[in-house]
Order: sequence, then C-alpha cells, then structure tokens
Amino acid sequence: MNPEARWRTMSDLWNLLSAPEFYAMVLQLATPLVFAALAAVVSNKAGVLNIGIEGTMVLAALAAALFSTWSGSAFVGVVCGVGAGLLMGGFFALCAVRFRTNHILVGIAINLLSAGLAVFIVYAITGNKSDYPGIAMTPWDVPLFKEIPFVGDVLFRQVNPLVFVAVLCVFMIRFLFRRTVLGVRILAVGKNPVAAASVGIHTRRIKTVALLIAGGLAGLGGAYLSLGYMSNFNTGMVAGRGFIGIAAEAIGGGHPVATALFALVFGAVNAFSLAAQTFTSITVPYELLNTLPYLTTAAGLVVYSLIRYRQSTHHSSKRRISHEKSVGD
Amino acid sequence: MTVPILRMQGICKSFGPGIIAADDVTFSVNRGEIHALAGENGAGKTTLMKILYGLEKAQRGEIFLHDRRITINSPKDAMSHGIGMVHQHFMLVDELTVAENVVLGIEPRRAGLFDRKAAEHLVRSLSERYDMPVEPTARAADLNVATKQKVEILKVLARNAELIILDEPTAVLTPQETKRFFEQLKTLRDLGKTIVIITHKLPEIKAICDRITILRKGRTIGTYFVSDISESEISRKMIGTEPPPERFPQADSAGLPRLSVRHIWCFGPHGKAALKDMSFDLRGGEMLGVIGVEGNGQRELVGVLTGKIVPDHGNVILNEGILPSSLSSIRKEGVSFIPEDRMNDGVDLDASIEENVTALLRQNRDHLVGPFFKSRKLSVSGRRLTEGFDVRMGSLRDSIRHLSGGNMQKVVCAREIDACGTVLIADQPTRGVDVGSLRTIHDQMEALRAAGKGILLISSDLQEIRALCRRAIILHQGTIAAEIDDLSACSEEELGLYMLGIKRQEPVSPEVAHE
Amino acid sequence: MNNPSAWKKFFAHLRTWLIGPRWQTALIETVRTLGAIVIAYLIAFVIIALVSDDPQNAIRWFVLGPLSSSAERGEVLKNATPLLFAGIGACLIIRGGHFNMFTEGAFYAGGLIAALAAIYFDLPPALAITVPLLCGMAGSMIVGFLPAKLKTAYGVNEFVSSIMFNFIVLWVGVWLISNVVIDVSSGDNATRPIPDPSRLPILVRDTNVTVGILIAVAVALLAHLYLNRTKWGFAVRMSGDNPHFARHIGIPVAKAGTHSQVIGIGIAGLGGGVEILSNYRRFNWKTLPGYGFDGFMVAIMAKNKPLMVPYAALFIGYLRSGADLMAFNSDVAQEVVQIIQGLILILVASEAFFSSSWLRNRIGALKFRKKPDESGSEVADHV
Repeated sequence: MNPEARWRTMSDLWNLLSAPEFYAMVLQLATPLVFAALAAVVSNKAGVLNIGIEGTMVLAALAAALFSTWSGSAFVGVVCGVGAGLLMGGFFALCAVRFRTNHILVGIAINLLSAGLAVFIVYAITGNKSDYPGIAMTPWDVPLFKEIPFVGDVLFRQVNPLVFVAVLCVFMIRFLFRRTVLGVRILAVGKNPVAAASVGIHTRRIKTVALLIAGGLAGLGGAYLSLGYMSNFNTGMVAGRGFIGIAAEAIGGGHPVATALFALVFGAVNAFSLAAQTFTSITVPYELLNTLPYLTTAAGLVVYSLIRYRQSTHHSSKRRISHEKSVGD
Repeated sequence: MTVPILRMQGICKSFGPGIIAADDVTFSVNRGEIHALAGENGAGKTTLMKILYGLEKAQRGEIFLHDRRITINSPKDAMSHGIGMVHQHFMLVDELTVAENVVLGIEPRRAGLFDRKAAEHLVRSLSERYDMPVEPTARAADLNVATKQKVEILKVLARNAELIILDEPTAVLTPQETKRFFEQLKTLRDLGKTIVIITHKLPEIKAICDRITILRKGRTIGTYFVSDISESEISRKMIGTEPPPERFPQADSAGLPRLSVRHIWCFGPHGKAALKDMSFDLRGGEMLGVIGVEGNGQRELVGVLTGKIVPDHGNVILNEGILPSSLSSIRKEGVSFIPEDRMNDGVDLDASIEENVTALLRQNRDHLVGPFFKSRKLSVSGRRLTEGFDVRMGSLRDSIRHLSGGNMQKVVCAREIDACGTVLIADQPTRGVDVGSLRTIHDQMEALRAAGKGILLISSDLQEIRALCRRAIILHQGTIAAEIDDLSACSEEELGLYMLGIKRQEPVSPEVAHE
Repeated sequence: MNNPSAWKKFFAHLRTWLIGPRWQTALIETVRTLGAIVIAYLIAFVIIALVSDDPQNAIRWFVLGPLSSSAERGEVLKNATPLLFAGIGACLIIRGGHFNMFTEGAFYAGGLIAALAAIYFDLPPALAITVPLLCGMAGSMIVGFLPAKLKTAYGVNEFVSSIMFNFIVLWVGVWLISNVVIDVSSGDNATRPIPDPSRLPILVRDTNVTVGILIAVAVALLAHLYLNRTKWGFAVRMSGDNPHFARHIGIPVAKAGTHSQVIGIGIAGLGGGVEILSNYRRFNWKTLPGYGFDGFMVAIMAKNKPLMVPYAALFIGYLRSGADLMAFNSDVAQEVVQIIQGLILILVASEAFFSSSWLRNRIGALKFRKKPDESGSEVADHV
C-alpha cells in the first residue's frame, strides 16, 4: 500500500470514528443485541440454555410490524411484539418444563417454527414472502441534554425510545437479581434446583416465569428491529442476533451490565462493518465485512472459554477438588 | 423431661420385593435431648429420617408429634411441624450469599422487594443466639465445609425447627471442627432444641448423645441411655452376631505381589487427609478384603488405583512398574474394575446387553478386523459371558435397561472378570443384588482368584468379605486400623471394634496438620 | 414342523420375541412418532383452513399431490436426498453427544467447493464427479474441525460457535461468488456453469432423481456400519450415551467427540456437493440452505438411527413436495412445512408426550404371564 493510500485510509477511519453518527449507529445496532443478551441472561440464570431467542425475535418483529400498521400506532406494535415474545416464552416453558423436552431441541423447534410461521403469515396477508411494512417509532430528542456537544448528538438526539428502554432493562435485570425475591429464587432454581425444591420453592413455576421474562425481552428486541432499526418487517432481519446475544451472555459471565457491554462491542463491530462499506480509500467487499460480527463473536467465545479452561486446570489444587467431586458424585 | 416430642410407630418401608429398608420400626425422641440413630450402612437410618422429613413415604406406620398424629407428605409439611433436616450432601446454592441461602423460600420482604438487610439481621441474630458465627454476606461457594454446615443448621433454625435431624454431620469435618461442632450442638440442646444425629461413629455418640436407638437391617434393636451402654455393646448390637459365613476360603496360594501400595497420602478439599500413609500388598492368587465403614478412605483408595486421583505422596507399584496415570493405560496392564456406581460407570443404559458385556472385548484385537467388529465372534463371546454368569434375559440384543439390578451387575462383573489379566478391583460388587446373583458373582470371583489373579475386594458387607477373603485390611479414617491375616480366626466383634476405631493394631499415626 | 411340540416351541419363541422389551420399545417409538405426525398434521390443517379460501383444494394438493404422478414422486425423492445427508450427519453428531450446527455451513461450503472443483479442475470424465464431491466433503470437514475441536478440547459451546461459523462461511461464499469466481454473463452473482461431465446422471427418466439418492442411501448404510460395526462408532456411541461409562472402559471421550462431529460435518458437506451437482446449473446460493436444522429434525425423528433416517427424510421430502404443490396450486405458502416440522420435533423429543412408561404399562398389560425375573426392572429403579 503506497503512503498516499495509507493516508487516505487513515483519514477515512478518523472521519468515521470522530463522527457522532457512527456512535449513534453503534447504539442502534447494539440495542437488539442487548435485548437478546438480557433474555439469555434471564434464561441462563434459571438454568435454561434458550436457543429459541432467535425465533422469538423473528415472530415478535413480525407481530410488532403487523399490529403497528393495523392499529396505526407504533406503541401498540411494540406492546404486541412483547406479547408475541411472552407467548413464545410461554411456549418454550410449556415444552421444556411441562413436556420435559431437551432445551436445545425446543430451541431448534421454535426457530424452525417461527421462521416458517413468519413467512407463512406475511404471505397469507400480503401475497409476498419477505416484507411487511411497519410504523416506525418516533425518535426522541431529550431537551437540554441534546445540546451537549458530541455526546448529545450520540445519546440524546433523534434516539429511538427503545434504546432507552434497553438501558433501563439492563439495570432492571440487575435489580431483579439483586433486590427481588423472584430474582433470588430464579438463581436458586437455576443453580441448584434440588436445594431450591428442598425448601419448598416451586421450581417449575419459577422457571416458567423466568422464560416468560426472557421471551418478553426477546420480544422487545424483535419489536425494535422492525419498528426502530427499520420500519418494516423482513424475514431475514434477525440474522443470528439471538445467537450473538447468547454468546454475549456467555462472555459476560451472566452479569447483566458486563453482558450488555459485550453486546455493545458486538454492535460496534456490526456498525463498523456497515460503515466501512462507505470507505472511499480502500474497498473491502461488504460480504467480507459482514463476517466481522460473527467472527468477533466466535473469537470472543473462544477467548472466554480458553480463559475459563486455564483457570480450571492451572491450579493443581483445584483439579484435585474437581477429581474428588467426580469421584464423589 | 421424659415426654416424647416425637414418636414413630410401626414404620414399614420397602423398595420392592426383598429390599426392606424399615420393618416395623419404632423410634421416639424426648424434648431437649441429643439422640443418636445408629446402625450399619443399609440399616435403614437415613430412610427412616427421610420418611420423617417427607422425602420418602412409608407404606405403613404412624408418626406422633406431641402425642398428636400427624401426616407428613413433603419437606414443607415437616417444616411446618417444626422438623428440619440437614442432609449429608449440603443443599446450598453456591452463587448466593449465606443470608440468601438461609432465607431461601421464606424471604423477608419490604415493599414487595427482597429485604436483604432483614435477612442478614436474622442470620446475625440466629448465629449469635446459637453461637454459630458466620458472615451473612459471604458467598456460599467461598465457605469451607464446617461453615457450610453451620449455614445448613441456621437454615433449619430460621424455619423455627424444634427437632433437627442431622445426617452424618461429622463425615466431612476434621477432628477439630468436630469438637467445635459438638459444642454448638450442646448449645442448641441447652436452648431447648431436640437433635437427632444419624451416625455410626461410636466415640461421637459417647461424647455428646444422651440416648441412642440402634437399627439393624431395618429393625429397631433398642433404645438405650448412652451412659448405660458400653461402646463394645453398641458395636455388637449394630453389627450383630450373624450366622457364620457359608464357607471359609481356602488358604491363599502365596503368589508374587501384583499391586503394592506404598505410603499413599491424599488430601481432600480443605486439606483434610483422606488417605494417611497407607501401605499394603496384593499378591497374585489372593483375594484381599477391604473392610470399613463407608467414608473411611475406600473411595479415595479406589480413586488412586483407577487414576482418577493423583496421590499427594507415595506411589503405587503395579506388576513391578509404577501405576500409569490414566485409566486406559492401567487397563492395558491387565487391571480391571467393577465400579461402585453401576448405573453411571458400569453400564451404558442405552446400549444392548451384548454391547455392554463385550465393551472391553470390542477394543481387543481378537474381535476386530481392521476397525470392524467380528460380529459373530462378539455374539459368541457375549453368549459365553452371559451364560457363564447366568444372566437372565430375553435376548442379547435387548437394551440392558430392562435387566434387573442383579442381572445388570452380573453383566458388569462378567465383562470385568473376563478382561482381568492380573488384578481385579471390585468395589462393592454385590451391592443391592439378589441372593442368586450374589452367589454367581462370588463363585466367579473365587474362580478368578484360584486362577492366580489378585483381587481387591472393597465391600461394606462384612459377611461377603468373611466368606471370600482370608486376609483383609480394615480402614478407619484413611488409615489401616488393622491387617488381619486370617479372618476366620478373628471374631466379628473384634472386627467391629477395629472398624469403629475403638481398637487399633498399630500405634496410631499422628494427626496430620492441614495446609 | 409337523409335530405339534415344534409348533408350540416356535410360537413360544415368537411370543417371547413379540413381548420382549426390544419389540416393545420399537412399537412405542413408532406409536409416538406417528402420534406426533398426526397431531402436527391436524394443527397444520387448522392453520390452512384459517388462511385459505379453498382449504379443501389446498389440503388435497398438500396430502395427495406428491403421490399423483411419477414426476411428483420423483420430486419427493429429490427433496429427500439433501435431507438424508443432513440427517445422517446430524445423527452422528448427536450420537456423540453434541449439538454442532455446522452441518448447515458444511452444506454451503461443500456445495460451493464441489462446484468450484468441477469448474476449475480440468478433470477426466471418470473423476469429474468423484473429485469435486470429495473436495467439497474434505473442505467442509477442515472448516468444521474448528468448532468441533474447540468444543471437545476447551469446552467452547459448540452450538453458538458453529452458528457463527455458518454465517462466516455464508458471507465468505457470497463474497466469492459475487467477486472472485463470478460469471458476469450469468446476469447473477453465480459461478460459471458446472460442466456436464460433473453433473450427476439422472437415475429415473422424466424425473429429477439423480444418482445422488443412491449415494445418500449408501452413506446411510455406511453410517450404520460405522456406528454399529466399528470400534470408532462404538467409541462415539458410548461417549455420547454415557461419558462416565466410556471413560470407565478406557475410551478417549474427547477424541471420539471430535471424530463424530467432523465425520457428521463431512457427510453434510458431501450432501451439499451432491445437491449442487444434481440440481443446479451454477452455484448461486446467497442464503444458507437451511438443511442443517432440517437435518437435526430428521435425525431426531429417526431416533438417531442411520437406517431410519431414509424414512424420516422421505417423509419430510414428501411433506415438502406437498407444500410446494400446495403453494403452486392454492393460496397457502409452503412454509407451513416448517411449522409441522417444529411441532413434530417438539412432540417426538418430548419425554412426557406419550411417555414410554405410560405406554409400556399399557402394552405390559398384554403380557400373558410374567416371569419372576422379568419383574425386576422396577426394583432396579429404586436401588
């Protein structure tokens, strides 16, 4: 690469990274990931690996678009999206808790089902198979704060209300597990169901409630995709975001704030992969840029697992304990 | 003072035909006493207490609390009657704090929210009142075993239990911790709580219990004041005078040592020594019994011999070489194992009987052409093995899931005994097995011994060892309390004294300092 | 067999076989699967009735259409072929105790690599088919080794990582066909046409059935042999069923797990190659084909038995053909298939749906006489 080209690339990068629009885009792209990751946090705390988040988001996105157009109100759309999420959460709970189906298989089934159902419904209504228009939510301006240079442009000008909801949810989930009886019980049921049952906690009921909450969160994520990030429903729009959310949860170790931060990182990578397509200096094909979010997610997962693996094998004393455990159980 | 707070009468419980855990058991506890419930493994102590705590249902019998008949269907019922139980395996959620664990299920609330302050306050006040210092904000995962136990007791106390059942509470404690724990139990008693301890450790019974009820084979032998009964009497009543074993083994043909354990030390989590300076030899052509009440180092010994646990000191010599570190290479040396946990380690429930019985042959060159199995040869071998052990089954191709426990165990034994080249380690080979299967397994093990192999027989059934072994070692708290060269010359009573640590053959090795 | 005692013996034998546990289990599983299919169909009919103006017509096409002519029956076989590959791949992966979803990416990668090999290697006719297929298989195995090894060596969640790998493979593939190996004259982002010698020959005249289905059936047989007749397959099954037991008998559990995943992925890759060389003129996939998830569904329906996979694949193939015909001839979209598949998957995998113990009790009542040593199994549960 000759010096001039390098200079142009640098300036492209600088232009990108110094523009508030880029950070606004990061927020936009991170929001659905945050919702998905929080849904993963709640289900994981209840001891369920919830792969159905992806499918739940698809159906919620559709429900949000559908009902927003029908009612003429984006708000109704969001509420219906959450409703669809709750429904899917309840369905997951019914299968996994009541019918005792393997969690992963329930997840796969829900993903299959939702993808099919979404296309099916869109087709039944419109006759086309991919898109359904929705009514976008009106972005908010926060008075006074929006005048703050740079930060105001990123955080408080023309921001979708659901972005604020996402931030709120992070802290609400934190609050749930720290300050509420339900949160403590969900933790107990997820980590040691026998112990929880031995003190008279209804493990099934608690698990169901947790899965409902997760469904609702995934529903918010879906609704955001069709009414906030875009203003229509598109069958491919979730694009693995549910799975990225699960990865963010794993890397964040189940802490709501850390998880949300990793979701933000993945959102940033996603934003970068989109913005880099506009670079004039070098042309990286957009297809390859599209791999970036998945690549970083996989890499993050590997690094996280490696660190955990090191921790568990490095201390010989710990290894002995784990041996003893395996002998003892 | 002698008003019984609780009376259990005519309790009967069986787990299917032939497996009777409680046979017309009567048990009564007075208010404000520490009552020991003693008996050998399988005597029915834990089952009886599980019935009281609502974890098991008795087929017959009545429970009276304060002379009022009550029914207990779940732990919740038991708790509402003021009965609490501390299980042998702790029921704590590692991710939660002490306070959260204590109040789990009965959380104090303020304005609908979890009132952590109140929970912590409750723990503090309870721990002060009953002299059990714990830090309410510590995470359960970070606690040592003794503290976890305190938390478990606080959990029970927080539910206002009047009667506290402790299942083998000292099994996981060091002697120092045990001493401290007993003081706390006395405090509890002096504050009016009634305590039932399930145990078989005689010194402990002597040290803190007021009365003792002895169970044997699901029957009540009697209830006594501890001050009126000697340790050896308790031991005799627990173990009983059984009819003499059906046969005495012939003198062993003294072969060469196959397996030599040399000064093995093993430390468990929290630095408690599980094996202390253990040494013994297993010679070819002998069956060496390992006697001992469960939890005295048997599990760790087997763990060392199967490569699961690396000993902290000492070594094991197998066929004149050092014991390899992995199970598969130990197996290559001709060692085979009958595992204690049949369902988990012994079989693949989803596979057929033939696959289970030939699982080891399937890795053997004789039964392979390249990577492919010689199917006919395998089914011939499968038939030979199952017929040799008289496995009662429909077809070799049936899933092993459908076999009864005894037949399943015969499959496991057939596989391991057939594969045995030099040494067989049999860990509870006949537990939960019917009499017919037991005899088959014994016959086959005896035949293997006669063929010159060395067998290490670990069993909690004294009769089994007396019937099969001439020589035995007796484990007590991770040491060899005695090495008996001729079991037939040793009375059951004497064995019992060794098993319970009342008597030792050699000077006791000094108590280990814990790192 | 003229004397009556021989007959008696024969019947006694037959009877013990019929009431034996193996037969019972097979019966229960069949009833369960059929029950799940019936329920899923009923729900699908309700959905069709709700959205269609002429539900009778739609349902007729859906159910009877695939059987109406030899061309349609051929369509069923054509649809079943990739599902067979994906199902067998998933079978091996699940039997080893894993949920590696890279069969999906493997389908894409296998198809792309096979197409490229067919186009760019100047192959003699004898090798024109085998070499591309093997290249596709090997290529997908190499990529698939990563998530598999990461799982067994370091415990990286194979489900999430393999899905990320799927997307990566997809976008790299799309990049290749729209930049590197693009044939501009096609008017699409697609490769050059696949040369005729590399295309799989048609098996049945006037249908789209190629020899691919024979390869698929052969693979099913091989997979059956691998799992049930070789020491490798034995190690895989034991590690998947009960890792404790596998370790006890000296099987290297992690290695067996990697093996099963990589082989399963390879089979899916082969399926991708077969699919492309059978049914496509050029490679032009811009989305993931979805066979990975379908494969898991097929495998679960076949109870993870390779020899049952063809039946399950055939059923799903029939379902698909029916849905295609229905979509073409009525106002109902074929995605109703995915709804049915999801429902069947949940019901078949559910432990509580028609639970075995429930059914076994019913069937157990048919037993004429109970031998004492057969009643032991209940005892065993408690001990």
